[in-house]
Amino acid sequence: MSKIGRTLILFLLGIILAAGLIGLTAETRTTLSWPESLLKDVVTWMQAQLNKPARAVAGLFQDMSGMFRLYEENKVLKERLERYAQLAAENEELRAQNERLKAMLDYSQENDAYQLKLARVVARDPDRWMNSIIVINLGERDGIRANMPVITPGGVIGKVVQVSRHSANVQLITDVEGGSRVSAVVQSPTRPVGIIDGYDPQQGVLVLSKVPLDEPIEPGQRVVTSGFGGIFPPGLLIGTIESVGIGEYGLSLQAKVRPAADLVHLDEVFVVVGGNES
Amino acid sequence: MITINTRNVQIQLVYLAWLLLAILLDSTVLPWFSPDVWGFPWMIAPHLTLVVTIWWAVQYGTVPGLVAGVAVGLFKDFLYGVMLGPSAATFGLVGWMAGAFTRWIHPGMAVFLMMTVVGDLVYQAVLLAVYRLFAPAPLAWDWLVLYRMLPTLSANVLFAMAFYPMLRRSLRWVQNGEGGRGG
Repeated sequence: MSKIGRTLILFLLGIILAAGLIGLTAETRTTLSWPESLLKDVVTWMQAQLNKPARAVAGLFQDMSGMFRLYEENKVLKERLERYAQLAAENEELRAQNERLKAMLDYSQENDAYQLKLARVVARDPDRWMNSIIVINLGERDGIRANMPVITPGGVIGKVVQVSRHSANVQLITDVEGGSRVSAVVQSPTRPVGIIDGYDPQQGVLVLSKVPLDEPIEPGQRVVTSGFGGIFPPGLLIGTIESVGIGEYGLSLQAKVRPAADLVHLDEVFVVVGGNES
Repeated sequence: MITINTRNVQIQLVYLAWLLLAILLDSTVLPWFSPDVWGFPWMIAPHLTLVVTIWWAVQYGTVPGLVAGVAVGLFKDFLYGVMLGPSAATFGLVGWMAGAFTRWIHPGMAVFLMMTVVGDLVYQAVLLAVYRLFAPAPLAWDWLVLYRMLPTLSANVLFAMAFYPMLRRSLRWVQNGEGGRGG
């Protein structure tokens, strides 16, 4: 056989093998075998050691660049603080009302009781604009399981997709190509449900689609998890609507949602334990 | 062809050490210095692992390049991927290409840098195809090239330029037997 022919056959064989491997491992690798787990944890440990000083140095530079923005930020914050007092009062009023109503309904609180575990981000896939995976320093030993939601004080950032003994991989909500889908509800009077199934890296916004055409959603409204997907508990903040348009085929509305959580500077995250993960 | 003796084992250990350092730097230190972390629209993805793989392929040719590429790619998939394969296939392809190219031209800094440019472009293009093939909203190509691919490419060429003298010195150190068993 000629040399070119042989190379071509090898090349095609390689493509078939790779495609087969991708297909075989696409859905199944949520937990690792112990040698895999050991290897992963050793690397994660080294990454954690290196990440600490790196973050410190990066943080120093960020502080310096942040100083220039402080003045503007201070003005905005003061305005917000004034509104906050009013909001707090309203919130307290609503909480009291909510408790009364819940008691009247005999609502069991067990369903939405969940616990937060603080985890440090130790590494991130360098190709993060294509494959948004972060590695955290908690694993099976700490009670972390696949499909647990991961949040920051800002809002939802993703879910656990793979666990080893002392570390876990978290898929961010922006990783829609990797299969991230979140069922969400818009906080408007009619509470319409949609699906977060897209991400526009150019504008840094999530895409909320499959919202019924006649629902009155508008910019500024908040989007939270609906709890219907069976992974995220209801009521976790995803973001706020920035613009609303007609979706694919004109059958539903599509909204651009600005994520509430900062998905670039991820240092510490919370894993939601005891939600309704499988 | 590679034969097994103490010297070759030492050389391979040096490569492995660089590779480990590359893996660690790629995922921890370097992403913090990507412009988008500082609020700029550009983003860079450090590919030091690819740089080390290309360097190995440039030295040893197609088959070792392919094997090293698949191994390194598989390890990267193992660390960050939900599935195994995308990086393995891409690294393998780039390793093979880098090896094939240097069959005609004597390897040196220029060839190494050129292969870094070509290899990184191929790597980004293939990975983009794998991950974004079924993307619901296709991205604007000009934006993709200007804000993602070109910054990444130039950053990695810079990394390669910074790495090259150190890589070469470490290899020479082993080859000359200084500090090793030598002879």
